Amino acid sequence: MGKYILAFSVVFCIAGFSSIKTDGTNTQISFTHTIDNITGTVTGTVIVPEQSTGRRQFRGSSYRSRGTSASPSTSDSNTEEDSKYRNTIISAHPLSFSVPDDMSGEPVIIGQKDATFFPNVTPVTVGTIVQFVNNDPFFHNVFSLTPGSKFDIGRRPTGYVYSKQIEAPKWKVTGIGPITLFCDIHSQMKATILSLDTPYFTRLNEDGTYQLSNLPEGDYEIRVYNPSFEIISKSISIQSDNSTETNFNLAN
Amino acid sequence: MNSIKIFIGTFLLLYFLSVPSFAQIQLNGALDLELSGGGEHSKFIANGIPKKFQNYNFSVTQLNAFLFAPITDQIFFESRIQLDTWGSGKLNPPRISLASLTWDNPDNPYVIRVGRFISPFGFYTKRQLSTDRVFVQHPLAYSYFTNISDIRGFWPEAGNNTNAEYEEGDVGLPTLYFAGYTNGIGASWEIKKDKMFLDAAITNGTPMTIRDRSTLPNLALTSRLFYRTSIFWEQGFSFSFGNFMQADPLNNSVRTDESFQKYYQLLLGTDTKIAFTYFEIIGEIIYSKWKTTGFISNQFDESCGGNLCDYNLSNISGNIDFKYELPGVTGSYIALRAEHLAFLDDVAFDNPNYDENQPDDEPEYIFRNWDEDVSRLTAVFGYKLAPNILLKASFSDQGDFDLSEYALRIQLASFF
Repeated sequence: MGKYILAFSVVFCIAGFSSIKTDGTNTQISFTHTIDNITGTVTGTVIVPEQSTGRRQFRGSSYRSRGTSASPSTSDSNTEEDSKYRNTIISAHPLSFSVPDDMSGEPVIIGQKDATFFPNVTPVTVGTIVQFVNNDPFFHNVFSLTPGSKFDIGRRPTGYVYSKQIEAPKWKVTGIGPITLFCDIHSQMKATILSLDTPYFTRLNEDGTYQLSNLPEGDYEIRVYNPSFEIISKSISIQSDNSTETNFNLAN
Repeated sequence: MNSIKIFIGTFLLLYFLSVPSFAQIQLNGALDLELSGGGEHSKFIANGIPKKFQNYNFSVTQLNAFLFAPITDQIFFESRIQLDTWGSGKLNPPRISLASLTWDNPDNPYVIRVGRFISPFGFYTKRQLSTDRVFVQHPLAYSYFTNISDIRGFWPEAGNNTNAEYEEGDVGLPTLYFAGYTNGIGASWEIKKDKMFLDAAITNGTPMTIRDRSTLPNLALTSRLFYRTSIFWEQGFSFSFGNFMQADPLNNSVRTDESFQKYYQLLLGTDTKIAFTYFEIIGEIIYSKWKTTGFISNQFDESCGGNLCDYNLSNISGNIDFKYELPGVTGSYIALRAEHLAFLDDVAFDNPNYDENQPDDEPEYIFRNWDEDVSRLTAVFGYKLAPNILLKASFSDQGDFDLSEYALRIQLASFF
């Protein structure tokens, strides 16, 4: 009997992992709990104050060799995928049950175009492979000096795909490890891989709302990450087939 | 202390002048700390180490404040206020090394700037910030002082032959001003998107001009064409031609308003950058030709029929930089530079009694070295402590390679 339960759990796990979708622009990830499939939903809004983007560093157009078309005004502009909302990630961290050790999802792509990383913030689960793609006609580099996750992929030409598995970095807050990316050639380029110990996360919508669905019943800590603000969190309980509303204000 | 007050005062003044765009003003800074020392023949104008600080010295070598103020969505003002120890090894009074208005419309390929900005000439002029530089020091063409002065012209007692230090007066000039700034109006044109760029400027002096204002109505045209032949290979071609001599009480007696305008500096340069994965190779060759006066034995050379003698002098320099990023030690690199500056023979007329109307009279020429060639080798280890904090340990030797002109620098460069 025990063998059957174990086999069932393994199959269930595989099925659950296969449903994980973690591409560069994902807003929702689905994950099936290994204990039961009774799920609930968390919704809410996040108030994101106006902020400096973290790419504020000014080296002066005078110091930047005009080897790229991207002028400061274009590279610093906020696109839809690079707004204060889209750079905000909400994650649900189970407190009353454990998630599997291996949560790695499908490879996630981080592009480099017009001397800008896109997306600017990329949430992934630990173990996921991130693929860096240079979409510019000139060299880019990607490096990180984040403790526990240092790497340097060197200069990579147009179209070159460099794959890197994301290990657990030194957590900023347990379960949330921002890995800051830079380009050694274009000093204004900066982005973040948000390494998470949970498969339950989503990106904030443009109107400031979010929805985390298919959460197994249990207790969670809901955390909100934005590279320009401190991480904030709230504890909640998810009941089966219930929708819980939890709102945040990053200014607090 | 006064320097610091002036520095802060000037910066605040510029800051508040930009009040209309207050909300978008960006302020940044840069700080360089350095432990440096050199051989017994150290001189700032030769190996970058002031003589009196050749025995190891720890100092704040640079403190910069940067201001960026958008005026409209296409026009912005940018400035750099600089406090440094260039030349003397002691803190100099603060100065505004960059102050320019720029028109940059992202929707068209042109950029226009006016004010004090970086000269388009050469590869290294754009690498003024220590955190952007692989090496601590610029190549010889940018940093080694020649026997040419902007108030005396050719002056054998300048450059390598002077016993004076940089701050003590006229010691000659490097082929290109090591800080790379110039005054005038400049434009950039992206001829082919992401492939070909042309920078050009009309300025008040050629790129060797150190002064921020000219004492004569000097004019120079400087340009650089950048071409990315492939993603691995970038090529630049630089050109400059114009005046460089300056009025000074010393040359009042021999100078008329027009006479110094015939003296010029012609610069031609080409630079190559080849890079792939963890490798980068940069090479640059610069040829410079001057037509200038001569200051021989403490007086202007007026032996040419009672008029100022013209000297046609030239030099050529080349450097090759090799950089390798150590993939196993993220943020670190090693780099080597080999460079040489050669002073080409001066062809001088040595027959003052020559009369071209006399059939038997033949001109006589002599060939003479007008300055001494110099070579330099440099090795650097760099390590990024943080994205904007770079630690560099540099060792160089030059000249006779007997360690009498070596320079050891450990520099911590930060940008914030």
